[in-house]
Amino acid sequence: MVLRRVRLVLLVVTLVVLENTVFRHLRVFDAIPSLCLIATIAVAYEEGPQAGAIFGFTSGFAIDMLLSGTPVGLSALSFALTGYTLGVLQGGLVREVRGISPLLAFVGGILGGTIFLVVGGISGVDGFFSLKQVLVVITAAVYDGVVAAPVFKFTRWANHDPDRARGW
Amino acid sequence: MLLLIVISSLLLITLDSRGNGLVDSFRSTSRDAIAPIRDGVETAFDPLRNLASGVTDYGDLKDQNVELKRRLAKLEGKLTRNKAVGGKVSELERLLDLPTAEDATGIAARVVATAAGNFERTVEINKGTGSGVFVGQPVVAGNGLVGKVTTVSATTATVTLVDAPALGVGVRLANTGARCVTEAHTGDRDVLLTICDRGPDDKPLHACPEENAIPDTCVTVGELLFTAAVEDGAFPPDIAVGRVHRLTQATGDLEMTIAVRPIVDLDDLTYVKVLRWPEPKATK
Repeated sequence: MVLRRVRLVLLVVTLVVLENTVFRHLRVFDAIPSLCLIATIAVAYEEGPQAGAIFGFTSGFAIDMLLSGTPVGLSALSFALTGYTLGVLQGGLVREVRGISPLLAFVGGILGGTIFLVVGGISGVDGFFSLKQVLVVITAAVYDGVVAAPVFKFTRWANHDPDRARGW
Repeated sequence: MLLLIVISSLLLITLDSRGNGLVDSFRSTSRDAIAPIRDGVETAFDPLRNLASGVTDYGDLKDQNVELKRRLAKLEGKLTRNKAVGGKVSELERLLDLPTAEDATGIAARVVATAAGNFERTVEINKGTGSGVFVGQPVVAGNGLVGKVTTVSATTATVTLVDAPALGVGVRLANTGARCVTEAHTGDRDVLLTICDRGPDDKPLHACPEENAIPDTCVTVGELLFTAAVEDGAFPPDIAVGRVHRLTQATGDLEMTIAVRPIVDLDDLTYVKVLRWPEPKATK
């Protein structure tokens, strides 16, 4: 249990650092993938809505700590709501589908990005309601889908605990 | 549980939007904590990045080399001509007691990260208050203005880039001498010029006609912009900011839209210099 928590903390730190450093050189049409959001989706897919919301809030909060132009809590809120929604959707799946991670990451990317823009725009962040930002959200969501498989694998490894029942 | 998370998030957003010092200091501590790891990863990734760009950009680099040689030859000629007037300008500046960019000393820093996510135009540098970096100081790269320090912790600082909406820079057009303020829009790499002086011919700034242009009275694509000399200004004067990239005027518009492309490649920054500006020495 403790080991799993340590692994999950390491997962978040690693993804935040990768997003901040390596991926800043790998921008595609001004967008980078949101690795922590993909990890949130992976947790929601494996563990359900509540775990998705908690992990989303935590990893989003970690991202918020490194931003300066948007209010603290904005990523936390958008990741948590995305994790919860994807967890609920996953509950509706009749059986586990192999290779679904890119699709989930894309849908989650669109949802998370939209919540981020709408709540950010309402809370007064300048320039969030623009077509350009919508295009960035779509591009980032496609990028999320492309890098989803390894992030899902990494998250599954960090979250793995054979002695534990499903859910948090 | 979800309700609790939503309420906590909204509470945090409200607190931070109203400018809570506790949130700021928590952010700054978090940056300091993660800085060594981020710095290490960035350094470790350097050789791989150089290798990848060497392979993928080989053709571009060759073209760039040819273009640079051509520009060097052109600039050498221009330099010789400018030397003649340079001495007079320095003499006049001394007479008018104007501080210049050369008066400001700097702190070299390495860019260690960009803002997490897709919606911010900031970079993180590896120098903070411990090295003498403070909020408000201008940041330059080799060929021009990068931005301004907006938050700072003990070991790192956040630089808001010139193409971020939060930053307006007073600029001077090289040919006309008209002064304007830059206005950036989120997601747009070009910045627009607003609140411009009238041109030297006392008309609103207008694009040069293709023939018989007198560049001293009109604006041309490619024209350079420098930081304007303003008393107690946030930036030293005469730092290159960008080049005019696009000139448009829709029917019925009173003024022309001038789009400027920053002179520094803000998406590929490695080393920057934080200027100690203003400093007592600089005001003479």
